Amino acid sequence: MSPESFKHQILPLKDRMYRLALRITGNPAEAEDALQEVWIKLWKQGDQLLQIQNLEAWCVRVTKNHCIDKVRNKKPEVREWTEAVEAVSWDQSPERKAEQQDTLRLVRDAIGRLPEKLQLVMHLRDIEGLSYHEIEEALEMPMAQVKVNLFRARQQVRAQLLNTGLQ
Amino acid sequence: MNNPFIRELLDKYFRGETTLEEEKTLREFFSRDVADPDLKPYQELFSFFQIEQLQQPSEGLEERFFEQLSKRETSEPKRPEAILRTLRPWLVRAAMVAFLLIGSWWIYTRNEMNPATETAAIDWSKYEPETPEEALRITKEALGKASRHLNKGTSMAMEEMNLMGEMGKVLH
Repeated sequence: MSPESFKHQILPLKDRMYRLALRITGNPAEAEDALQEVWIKLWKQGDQLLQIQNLEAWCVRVTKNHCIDKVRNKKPEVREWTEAVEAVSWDQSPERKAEQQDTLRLVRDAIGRLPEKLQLVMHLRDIEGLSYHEIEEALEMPMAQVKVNLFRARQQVRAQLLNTGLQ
Repeated sequence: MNNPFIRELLDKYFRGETTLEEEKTLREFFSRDVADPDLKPYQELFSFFQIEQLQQPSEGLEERFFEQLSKRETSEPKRPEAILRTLRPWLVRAAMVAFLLIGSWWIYTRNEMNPATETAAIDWSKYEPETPEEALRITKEALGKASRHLNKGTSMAMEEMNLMGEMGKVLH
């Protein structure tokens, strides 16, 4: 595979792959390291990579597997996901902004407490906007299981949000 | 209750039955200011999704990747497994050719060194009958032997036929 085709086929997926890595590792620096390692893995696959039918689902799958392996035996660390919240122009008072950040943290924690499979299905559907079929391919999970996991994830998040008193 | 359509969509969403298009409608609805206090938690949830979509790796990650890649390719010697993987088809072919050559050589030298394996010519003249009487006697013996075997076969067939007849009687 030439650097040019890598740039055109793989790198446009970088944001999606990064967000998934961030979801699993919980740390931006670690997610970037993981992303680079995944790119090297994909690069090593050479021309075989171009023969893969659904390249996007393949990249998501490789990223997921690599990041899960990476964090499997690690202790959960303090999450540092504040940049995106800072980056959004809310046009609000500092108090309201702080309040908003607290609320988002509650939502993030609610999702973060879900079992890994449920988190990944919810992430791919609600943040990445993938279809059930794409999630099925990316997570190597039967379609029925994808739907059940998504249902459970949403129900659990709703219950947690209502319990934490987000009104 | 306000927004019955949105509430219905929300119920569908939490049952995991919404389409991507319906989920987009929900995101758009919650991106505006929501007056209903009981819908506020859901607004936070959908805001979270939108903020998460903005997460990006830092600038220059691709450049750093290509730099790292070129460094690896120039400085890192090829690993033995990688070299072996490249050479493997050729090594298999070479091994097959060598095996055939050694095998042929072994068979050739074995035959060269062991001429006794050739069968000696039979001297049939020793077994030739010398008189017409002897020839007649040998022929009679041979025919008698053949006749005995033929009769034996017939009698065996007769025995089997009798047995089958007996079985037929019992069954009927």
